[in-house]
Amino acid sequence: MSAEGYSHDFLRELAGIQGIAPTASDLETVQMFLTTILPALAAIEASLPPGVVPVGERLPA
Amino acid sequence: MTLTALAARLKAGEVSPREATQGYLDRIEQLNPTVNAYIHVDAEGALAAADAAERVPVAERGPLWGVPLGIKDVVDVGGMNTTAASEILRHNLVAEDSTVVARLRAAGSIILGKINTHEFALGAWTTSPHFGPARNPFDTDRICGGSSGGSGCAMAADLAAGTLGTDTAGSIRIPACFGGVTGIRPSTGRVSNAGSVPVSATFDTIGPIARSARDCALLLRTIAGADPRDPSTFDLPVPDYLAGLEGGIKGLRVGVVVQRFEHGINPAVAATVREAIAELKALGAIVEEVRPVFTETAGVVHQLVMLPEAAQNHQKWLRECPELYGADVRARLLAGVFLPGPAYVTGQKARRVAFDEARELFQRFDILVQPQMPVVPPKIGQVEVDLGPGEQLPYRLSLLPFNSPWSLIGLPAMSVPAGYVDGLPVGMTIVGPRFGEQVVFRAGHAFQQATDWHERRPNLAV
Repeated sequence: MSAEGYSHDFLRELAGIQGIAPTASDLETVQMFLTTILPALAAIEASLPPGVVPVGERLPA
Repeated sequence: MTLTALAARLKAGEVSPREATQGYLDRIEQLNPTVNAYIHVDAEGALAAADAAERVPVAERGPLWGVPLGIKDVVDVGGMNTTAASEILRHNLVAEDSTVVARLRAAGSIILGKINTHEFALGAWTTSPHFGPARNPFDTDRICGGSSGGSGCAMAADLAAGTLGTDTAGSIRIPACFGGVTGIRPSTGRVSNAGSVPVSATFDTIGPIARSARDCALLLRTIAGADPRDPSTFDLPVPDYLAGLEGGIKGLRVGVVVQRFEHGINPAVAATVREAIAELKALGAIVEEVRPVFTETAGVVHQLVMLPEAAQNHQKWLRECPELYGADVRARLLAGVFLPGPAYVTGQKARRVAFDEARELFQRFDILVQPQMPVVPPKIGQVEVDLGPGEQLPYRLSLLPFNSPWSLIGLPAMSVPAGYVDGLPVGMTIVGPRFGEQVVFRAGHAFQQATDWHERRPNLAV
């Protein structure tokens, strides 16, 4: 997974669907964030053991 | 003076609630223009409450009778604005106390006012463009950390006997560390969040920042416990943390999170915390190095869950008035808008793996320890921090491995002062098992009985 497809135009369109109008500076920051986090996300996905059950908002005691 | 000492002097009649309150109000008037710890000071209300306290019969006086406190401005105090240091909530007057403030008042405390924070508690600087930066009392060109930066600042400058902060990803521990004071993030679900501005329900918790482990224990004992207003709280007994403080740490099994010393940390800070750990060993603890795998990716996992939750909380304002946010906070919230949906579930699965690993760890260890922060407080406006010769990292990223792991799985984590580098405070984190605040306090108290780092204060001109 990478941020390659996340152009400013694409991000602006995605935000518009949700009724949000980011600035060019916002999009620059978001793109940098996605460039970092999406590969890390892919690595975490790959490392998860099969069948692991997600925890909810409330952790066990 | 510590909160505990002040409470004892009040109880003994050596000082009255009005004298104690007026003393803090005078200091706030003198020093707050320099450090900007408080957003709002309610001098009139605090003195009226102090006068009312003096009329309470002795037998009905609570453990915090007459003790003046400051409250982070994301936590509701009835009759005051909860601004979250934001433009959006600048005029947000609330009628009702949050659960924690109601409990503090019931215990007899006096509320001095509302304390500065990073805008919407969404950052570790406390440099709100709307209310100005909190300035570190050890060097006013430097930040106090955040998001509860005003709370750490107020304690460092002695502008309250104790404070409340909130912690989603380090927001109590970081400013406690940078202020040379003590702060505990309680287990998630230990303290009610009812009546506070949320960041991320999965991780948010209110907790104390005060001078010592004992002070924090007294404050946490007062505010902890199940609350029908907050279904995320657990209906578990709240131990008497004060009763369990003594007894020392001989034989306590201490795991040193070794990765936090190996990379991403200024060597002088690492060396200082190693000396603090040697002190634990000298006190009789059994110290062993440990390498928890989940801490390596915890920063990313935490963001996969936290950012979408924060974005959801702010969606209405992001649509209607995005220009009212500071640029850094708006960009962080938008990052949550753009993360792919499945990422949230991936984060929750990774939390399960982390939780299970930590549960096994706490079969072998009573507590874990590590440096609280990899650096001393950066200058206001400084983006990157020095981690050693030729090694720099954005401050924002540098703190994640030190803070996110414990938020991620809801463990209690307390920062205690552990020394100084270049005249600036360094902290050590003590992490306990889930709902194991008792052992965290005991270890912190034993350390503070053997050291005086928590008693050192900055030289602020009055």
